[in-house]
Amino acid sequence: MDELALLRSARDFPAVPLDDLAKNRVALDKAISGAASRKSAKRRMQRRAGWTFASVGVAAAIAIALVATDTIGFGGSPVGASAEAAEVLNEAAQTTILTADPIVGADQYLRVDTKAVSGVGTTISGHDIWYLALRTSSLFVPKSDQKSWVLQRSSPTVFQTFGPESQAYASKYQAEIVAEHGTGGEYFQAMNGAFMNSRPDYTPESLKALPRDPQQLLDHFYLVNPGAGVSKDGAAFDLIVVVLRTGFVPADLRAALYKAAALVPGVSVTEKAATLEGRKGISIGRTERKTAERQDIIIDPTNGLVIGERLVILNGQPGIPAGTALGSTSVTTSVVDSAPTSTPSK
Amino acid sequence: MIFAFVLKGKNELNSGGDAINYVNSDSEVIRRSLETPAEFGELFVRHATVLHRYAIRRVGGTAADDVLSDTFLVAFERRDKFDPLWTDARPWLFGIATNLIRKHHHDETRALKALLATPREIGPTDEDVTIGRRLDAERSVAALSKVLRRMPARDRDTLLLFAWAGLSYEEIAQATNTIVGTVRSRLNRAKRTLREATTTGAIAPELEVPDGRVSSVAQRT
Repeated sequence: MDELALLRSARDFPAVPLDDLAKNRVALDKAISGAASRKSAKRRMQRRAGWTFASVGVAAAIAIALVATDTIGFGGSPVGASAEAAEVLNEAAQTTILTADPIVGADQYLRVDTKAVSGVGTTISGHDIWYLALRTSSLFVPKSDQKSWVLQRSSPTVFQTFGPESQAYASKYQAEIVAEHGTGGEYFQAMNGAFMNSRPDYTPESLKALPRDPQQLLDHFYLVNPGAGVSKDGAAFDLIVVVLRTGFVPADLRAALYKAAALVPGVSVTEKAATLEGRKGISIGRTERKTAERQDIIIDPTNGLVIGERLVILNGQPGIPAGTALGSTSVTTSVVDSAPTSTPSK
Repeated sequence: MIFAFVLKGKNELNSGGDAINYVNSDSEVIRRSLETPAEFGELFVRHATVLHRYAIRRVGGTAADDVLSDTFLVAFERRDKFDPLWTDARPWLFGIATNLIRKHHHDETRALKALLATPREIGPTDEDVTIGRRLDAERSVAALSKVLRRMPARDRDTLLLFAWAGLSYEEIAQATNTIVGTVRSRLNRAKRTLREATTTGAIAPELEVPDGRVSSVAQRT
């Protein structure tokens, strides 16, 4: 069950029949009868004065015409990424296929270390306040499907604040986290990565089933996520990013994902010398005009590996300055012999 | 799309009865109520049930009664401000209800906490839910409850108008007096927060802030 289905099923009550809601209509009926008597008094005055009212219907007709004019005409959609981005992506695909995948033995684990920056927000006295928190996590994916996956996560720390209110909120919130949970972080263990009874989006096993032909792969993404929440192209590009940041994408699929990204309209080089967690790479991204957000993926051109990804808020939103990377993830992978059995000691 | 819009604006044919009746759009009902206030009662008949159900989910039964009464009272007083382009009054009414719900944030917090007290089971059937899965389901619902309480109010309103009121992006934009792009942005952010909380149990401690609202962790995966 996905998170929206879970939410939809939560606190669901049968509708109360209309007859049983009559008591909630009393105030309205009182207001209606008050207005009706005022109305008849006004009408008498109007009759004397000889006023007439313009028809609301005429106003509606004019407004509909304006909307019709506004909505006519959609531009043709451009084909694929910019030439520069396509070149970078296709070169990365060529390079990455030559980069050896980590070899995980039958009893070993693939360890995926992630540093994630995320927005923490609240509403105080009607306005939004945000700050950025940093959290590291280590995911241990066993080669054997008889073993549990393990996720270790640090407690969040303050990464960036935006002014005094944000600073104050961040300090207070962090203090609460430490007071209640300490600084030990969290530990989860589950078969097939189903932490909290929820399957992961992708597993090394499920990635095997994805097409290696770039166009077929892209078609698959268009099909499984047809513009949910953002544009069709934005949704497909987001899915490419989601797969890449899992950290366990094999080289042939990584190459196909880069080539598929090169086919997505609106994808361009967004920063030639991008830095994420001290690692340098080329940023390829796509701006979603409707939300003024840009999703970037940062690739190391020397080996074609993914350094990470980020979501940039271009125009700013309440409590979030323009240009902020509201979320970013950097990923590194390694092979280990065992998974931890408790939270990290730090 | 444009044609559909114009057609919706006209009287729609109701084939439900023996005789052929023409049913006025909400917009038409409101227009008429400017001249004949009693006409406005028709909107209560049409929409009270869905609004009440939404309000119950958000603030619980007692406060929901108040929200419903006040929604129609406010709507009636402001009916001359209703945009005649909106043939359907639901987004407008849900928008008013959502603003009123903000005034009931203590009731909302209590209602969301009630999720914790009576976790719903997820999974195909009771028989299929093993103890382990039941526990996981309860943890998911617990995470859901907390994350909803901590979410910024605008994001929560948007998410619940989508998930609980069943409004489209365009309707939510109308209801919250904003543009569709902002709705998409808020909804994406809220869904991301929700996903993080329910999939990996990002249960950070609850923080009550001075005005009684609660804080949120919008963690990305």
